Amino acid sequence: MTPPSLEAGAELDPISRAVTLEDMALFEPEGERNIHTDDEVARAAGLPAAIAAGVQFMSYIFDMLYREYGFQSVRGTVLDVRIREPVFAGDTVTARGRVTEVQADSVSLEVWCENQRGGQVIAGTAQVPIRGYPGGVR
Amino acid sequence: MTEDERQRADQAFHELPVGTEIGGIEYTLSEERVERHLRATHQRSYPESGGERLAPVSILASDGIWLAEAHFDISESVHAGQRLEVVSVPIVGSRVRVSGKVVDKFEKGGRQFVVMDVLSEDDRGRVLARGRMTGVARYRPEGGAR
Repeated sequence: MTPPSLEAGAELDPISRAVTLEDMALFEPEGERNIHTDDEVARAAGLPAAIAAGVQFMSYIFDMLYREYGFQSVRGTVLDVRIREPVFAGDTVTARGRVTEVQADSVSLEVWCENQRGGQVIAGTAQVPIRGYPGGVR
Repeated sequence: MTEDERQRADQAFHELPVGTEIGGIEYTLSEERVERHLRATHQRSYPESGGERLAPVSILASDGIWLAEAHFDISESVHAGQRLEVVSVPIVGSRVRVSGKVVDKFEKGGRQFVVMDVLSEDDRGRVLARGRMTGVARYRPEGGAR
């Protein structure tokens, strides 16, 4: 098992996903027709096409942190992000993280998701408790 | 939105006091709901705990949106930011109650933003998550579905 990243500057294993309209629809309540699920509704709202919900990509970051630091570190995690660029079906979104500081019982990171053009989709910080070392599930 | 509706929404926004409690919503964290979220986000399940299936904590990130949707017009969907502190891992099958409070509001670029603190709890009395979300939201004092 690869030990989790516990040194400032260490980069987490990224997670990359091709975003589909099906994913975007699944993220919303069943049968929902809105700017996240329907191109027509999105165009009526002035958008070029349906855009994914920003919180969909918080999931990618939570998953990346879980894989790195394990289940014991899920409880107590704090994720704080700003939503920046829209994501459309067909985009590839990659979650990334870099350790900025290691404390006695937690690790601080900068985290972000970027699209295939390198644009930041969401970006912010995470604070992850360190429990059950080396509990990563990669 | 018609001009009349816009004017009423503007008035409601300006009259919305910071500190307003936002009435709760409830939902069941059903197997179907969790499966749907796992498929949408390509995540794997957590290991079971004490014979109970656990849901990914990322599912709680949407709670603030469902709560906002019950009281605001968020159809412009300019969701600016979100903070989520995971307190407990949700259990599949439990009932989740979400409540909130307006903690700030501001106008920027001709849009009205609301900052809301969000609390998610389950039917065992556990706090699941504390959140703060910032987004464009036109207050509808009458509440109700969009």
